[in-house]
Order: sequence, then structure tokens, then C-alpha cells
Amino acid sequence: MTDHLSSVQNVFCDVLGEQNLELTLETLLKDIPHCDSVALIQIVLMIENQWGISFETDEVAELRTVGQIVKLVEKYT
Amino acid sequence: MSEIPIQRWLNIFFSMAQPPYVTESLSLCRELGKTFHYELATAILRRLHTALQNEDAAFEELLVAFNELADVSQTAAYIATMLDRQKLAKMESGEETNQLTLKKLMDLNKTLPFPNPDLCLEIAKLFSFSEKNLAKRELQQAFGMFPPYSFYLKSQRYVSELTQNKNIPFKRTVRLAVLGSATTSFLTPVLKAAALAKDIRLEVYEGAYRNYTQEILNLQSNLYSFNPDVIILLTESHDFPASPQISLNEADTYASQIRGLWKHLQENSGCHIIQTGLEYPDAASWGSLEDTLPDGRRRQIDNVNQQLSESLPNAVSFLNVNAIASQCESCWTSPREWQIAKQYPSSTATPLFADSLVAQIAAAFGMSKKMLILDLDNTCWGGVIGEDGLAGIKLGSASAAGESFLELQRYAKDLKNRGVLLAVCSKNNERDALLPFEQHDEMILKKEDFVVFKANWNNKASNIRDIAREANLGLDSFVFLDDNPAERILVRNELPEVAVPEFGQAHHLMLQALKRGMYFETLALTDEDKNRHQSYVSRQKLQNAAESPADLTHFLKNLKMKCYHGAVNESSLLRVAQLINKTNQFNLTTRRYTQQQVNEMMNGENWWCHWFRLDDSQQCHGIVGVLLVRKQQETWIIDSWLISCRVIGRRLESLMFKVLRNAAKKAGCSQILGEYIPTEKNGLVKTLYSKLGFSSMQEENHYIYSFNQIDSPPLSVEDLIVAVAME
Repeated sequence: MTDHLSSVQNVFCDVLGEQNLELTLETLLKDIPHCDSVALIQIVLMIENQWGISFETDEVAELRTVGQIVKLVEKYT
Repeated sequence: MSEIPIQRWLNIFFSMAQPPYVTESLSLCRELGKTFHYELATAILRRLHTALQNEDAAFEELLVAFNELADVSQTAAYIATMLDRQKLAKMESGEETNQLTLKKLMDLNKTLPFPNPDLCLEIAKLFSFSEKNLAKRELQQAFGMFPPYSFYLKSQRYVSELTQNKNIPFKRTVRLAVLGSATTSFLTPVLKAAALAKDIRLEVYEGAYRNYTQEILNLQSNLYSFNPDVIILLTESHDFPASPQISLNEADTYASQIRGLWKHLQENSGCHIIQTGLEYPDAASWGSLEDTLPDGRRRQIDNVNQQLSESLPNAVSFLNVNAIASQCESCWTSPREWQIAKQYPSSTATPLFADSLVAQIAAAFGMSKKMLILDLDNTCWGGVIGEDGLAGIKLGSASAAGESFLELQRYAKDLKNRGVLLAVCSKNNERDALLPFEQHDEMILKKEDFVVFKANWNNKASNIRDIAREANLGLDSFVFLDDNPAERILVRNELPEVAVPEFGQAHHLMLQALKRGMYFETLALTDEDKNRHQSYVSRQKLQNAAESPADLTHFLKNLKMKCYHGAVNESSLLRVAQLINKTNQFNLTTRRYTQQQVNEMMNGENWWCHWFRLDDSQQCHGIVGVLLVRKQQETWIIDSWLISCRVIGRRLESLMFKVLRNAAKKAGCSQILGEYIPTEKNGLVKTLYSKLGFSSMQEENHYIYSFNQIDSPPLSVEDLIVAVAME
């Protein structure tokens, strides 16, 4: 779980261009600087691409926390 | 798998990472799965860090290992993960380490067969503030490798910072508005990157989703206050009635609505318009009927595209997305991405789309490449002519490989026929190199197709510099195609301005890489384009003659030059705008204007816009000179004065000035002002105004000259050119 969290965190850093984001499972997506709806889609695409997985449309629409993303990664890997 | 220590895997991997085992070890890795991928990368990273910190020999070892690994492009992924930013950041404890890391990474990147985009990005980030220009260059190399979409995501923030930094010089800044029927926010970061690769700084305005009609029709909208140079009108099939059967009228209505928007835009803004065509929709429930029924959906989409692309007005270009989609490795659209975010095209297709759009922007501003430099052995034919001999080389329909070289030659010949210049740069004895051109029946390219032919044993970078000098072109107008990775590395490192298509070891992908670069995009074909090759050939004869002045006058007289000139009008507009945007050397002010802007000038009362065409006994050069003069009561100000480089040295400038002077005199003008704005390329005309008898009024960076003796008899000009005024 924690391993996936750090990988997911790296994707956030990459896409948002922030070097030092510290994310927890509870972090709300809306509280992350520059993480608007476009960035969120970009992050999802990058995660899917990196792990070779694909989320359901609804799952993407319902994302609110970093933990939810990590859970999805676990579910599909 | 997890019982085996990483270190052992690493050793196994490295021992296998040599041809011909590379592919095997890679497929092994793939089988081992993503976990292994990640762990392997982490292990490599750890070793690299230790090596960097201790500065021990292991680093050198790693370089060798990577070099071998990187023979296969897939390994880029490993290096990418290896360069995990956060881990790298931890070791950056101070400026000195930073510099050291930078140097090592740059060395590493130069050792690779081609620049690794992720490495380029890391290097770019390490460049300190004062060296941002070098950072830009690194990123240009990265995007020149046509990285996947994920790389655009990783670099978007940094690209955006670089683009906004006004201290970094770009060849050109373009204000771009993107309006469309899909979300444009996914496209714009990629457009910025694609533009950066072509040295264009994009300032982007995004219209509201699906609001393009209102924004274009409302003159008070933000679109007009943004005042764009270029507008991309991105329409896709959701914007068009979606049922499998579409009434014929609807296609007409849709197309004429769009054409109406262009007209409105052009009347109210001087911008260039790029219209994207409609794609074939995913849903094709009626199967082939969609193509065969008169009102079938795909057929009607073709109909719309045809109506949008035929008889385009000036300053509008059309992008056929179905043609691009057919070259796209991934799916053009993604229904899921559309449903989630109205994203079009699919994220994976976005880089190709952005490159196609930026190629048109570059073409609109005369920034497309002008010359293709070809290697010979294993590029124009298979094998080595010096060793295999005429009978041994592969060329022609007898073999698959021979066929592929034919195809490349055909492509190059087609380029030549539409105005791209060709040159040869080959390591060969000239005698050998010429042999196929003289004696091989299947050669499509002929010796005469090349304006410069370099077959010798010199370093290719210095050969290319010579070609630039001989053809009178900047290095940034070259594309260099060579099958040998070592030559490509050399040229990239020594002449970063030259575009070098990359295709790894896969020779069969050479032509594809050349096409993918979209280096030679043009938006219109003028007669001058078709004759360009011939013009360069005669210019070289001129250069040879110029070595002795007596010969030169004699030579010029023999040419029996005739200059036609006239006011810029509808029929000359296209070529005039092309010249304004392309000419660098004989160009006093290097001011660029879009076709639309020139159109306004030629119809404006305060402008005198004149074109000059030159013909000689050998050929017609077409329109080669332009004067744009702004009238301010009795003062005429030469805003732009340029002559195409293909006729430099013909003394056309004296004649142009004579024509201008007569016109000024007739209009009762008392003073002509000339400006000279120095650039890297226009040193040639630095003293033009002094030579013509102007007196200097202001110097330093922006020179201004004045000419007051309108009434005095003109300096005697040798009558080398006969002038003919056209109505």
C-alpha cells in the first residue's frame, strides 16, 4: 500500500511539476496545489499508462482522495 | 522471482545486455513484469548514485552498460525510472554537486545513440537561471525524439515556465488562440512543447468549450482583445449531426457556417486560420453503408472536409485529421477520454496532432526546413558502393530492401519537385559515390537533383557547414538523414540547429522518421517553389564567376536579366507574404507579416507595396524582391526591403531603389527614410543604405538613414537589368 502511495505521489510530482509534494492517503485532491480537473485527468492517464491498467469511467469521476487512487491501482494490478 | 536478489538480476541483465542478446533480455524483463522493471530501475539508480557520489570507476562501467542497453529504444523506460527526480534531488546538496551531476548527465546523454528525453528534461532542470537557453536546447532535443504523451505530461510545467520566460530568446513568438468543439486544455500544453521544439514561443489563448461561434461573432469577446496571430479552429465530429444518415443539406450548411466564421475573422483580425477537418466517428453502426449511401455519415463527413478544404481563402490552412489518424500508431480518438473530459483526439494521439498543427504554424511564418541532406550508403541505397560495387548495392524492385530505398528516393524527389533543396553528404570517394547516379538504371535521384554534392572523407559536421556556406542557408534550415547512428550523434552534438530524424537501428523506419518530423510543411505552392532548385544551381555559377569582378559583370551581362515589377495585388500576395516570412539575409528589418496583414497594407492608402520579378536567359526566378514603404505625408519610410537569397549578387537592389525613387518623386515626397535592424543573418546589407547615398541619422542596434536628394539625378547604375513596369 505505502509502496503504491509513493509511486502515485511521484506521478503527482511529475504531472504537476512540483518536486516536493508530501501526500497521504487522506489528502483531498482539491487541496493539492495546481491539481485542477485537467491535471487530475492527466494524472489518471499517466497512472494507467505506467501500470498498464485502465479504470472505469465512473471510478475516475468519483475520485476525491489520494487514497482512492491508490486503492484503484491496487484493484487493477 | 522475488527470492533472487536484485543484484544478481542486474548482473544477469548486464551480461545479456549485449547484441545479439539485447532483445532477449528485454523480453525477459517484460515477462518478469512491472515489479521487476521498477526494482531493476531502482537498483540501477542506486548504483548510479553511489558511482556519482564516490566518483569511482563504476560510473564509467555504467556508461558502457547503458550505451549497450540503449541500443534498443525500449530501454529508455529504464533510464527514465532511474532518473527518479526526488532521489536525484536528495543528492543535490549544493551548487558544486549540481554542476557535477549536470556534467555527468550530459556526458551520459551524449554517449547514448540518441538523446534520451527524460535525461534531457533532468539536464534542462539542472541548468541554472543564467543558462536557460541551454535548457531550452536540451528540451528541443528531447521533443525532436518524438516522445510519448507521458513525457509531455512530465515536462509540461517546465515547458510552460521556459516559454513564459522572456529572457530566453526564441526565433519567433506566436500568439495562438485555440477554439473548438472539444476541450482544448489537454492539447495546449502539448502544442507549447511542439512549438518549443521548432523554436517558437507560443502564447496561448483558450476559448471556452464549444463556444467558438459566439466568440468569433462577438467583436467584444476576449478572443479579439487577445489579438491572435494564429487561430486553430478545432472542430470534430460531435459538432456535426451524429446520425448514420445525414441530410445532404446539413453538410453544406455546416461547411458554409464555418467558412462564414473565417470570413468574419478575417474581416476583424489579421490572423492566420488553421481549420481542422472532421474525423471519422468511432460509432460506425451502419458499417460500409456509412460510405456508400449518398447520405451515409462518413461520406458526408468527407463531403464537409472537402468543402472546407477546397479553394481556401488566403491565410487559411486545412488539416486533414483522417490522414494524420491513419499514420497514428494508437487510436485517434478514445471514447472513454471523450466521455470523461471531452478530450479530442485521444491523449496518445495528441503529440502527433500537435506536431501537425505546429508544422502549419511554422509554415505560415516561413520557418519550415529548406534543405534535405542525404547520406548515400545504406540511406539512398542498400550496401556500400565503395565495397559492394554497382552490382552489389541493393536498389530497386528485386528485393524488399531495394524497394524501400527506392521509396525513399521517390520521396526525396517529390520534395525536390515542390521546392525543397537536396544535398549529399557522404563518406565516400567521389568517384564511387557518383557511380550509381551515372550507371544504375533504377536510381530515381539524379546527380542534377542535388544543389550540393559532398562525397569525401571529411567530418560530416564540417561538410554540413560547407553546404550551409555554399547554399547560402542557415544551419537551422537543414534536415540531415543518415543511417549511421554515430554520424547522427556527431551532427546533433556539433550542430544542434540541424534537425536529425532518429530511427535507432531500424533502417526500415528511416523514411517514416523523416515524415514524422513534418519538417517541410508548406501551405501553398508557388511557381517560385517549383523553380527553386534551378535558381540555386545558377546562383552557384554566379558565385564561381564572382571570384573575379571582371568576370562577374561579364557574367551578369550575359544573363540578359529582365526585371518586371508592380504593385502587390491579389495574385502576387501569396508569394510576397512567403518572402516576407522566409527571407533572412537580404532583409533590412526582418519584420514578419502574415498574409492578412500584407493584404491590409496593399489595400491601405498609406502604403506603397511593390514586388519585383527577375528573369534571365537561363530561367525565370519569379518574384524575388519586395519593398513595403509607409507614407507619412512627404516622408516615405522603407518598412521592409528584402531580396530572396537565390538572386543575391545580381545587383537587383540598385534597380529596386531606382523604381522606389521614381515613385516617391512622382508622389511629391521629399525624404526617404531607411532602417537597418541587425540580426545574426543580415550582416550582408549593413552598408546598403550608405552605398545608395543615404546619410546616417541614428546608429546602434537600430540604424536609421535618410535620403533627401530625390530630385538630383540618380547615381549611374550599370544597366545590367532591363526594367519593365507592370500594371
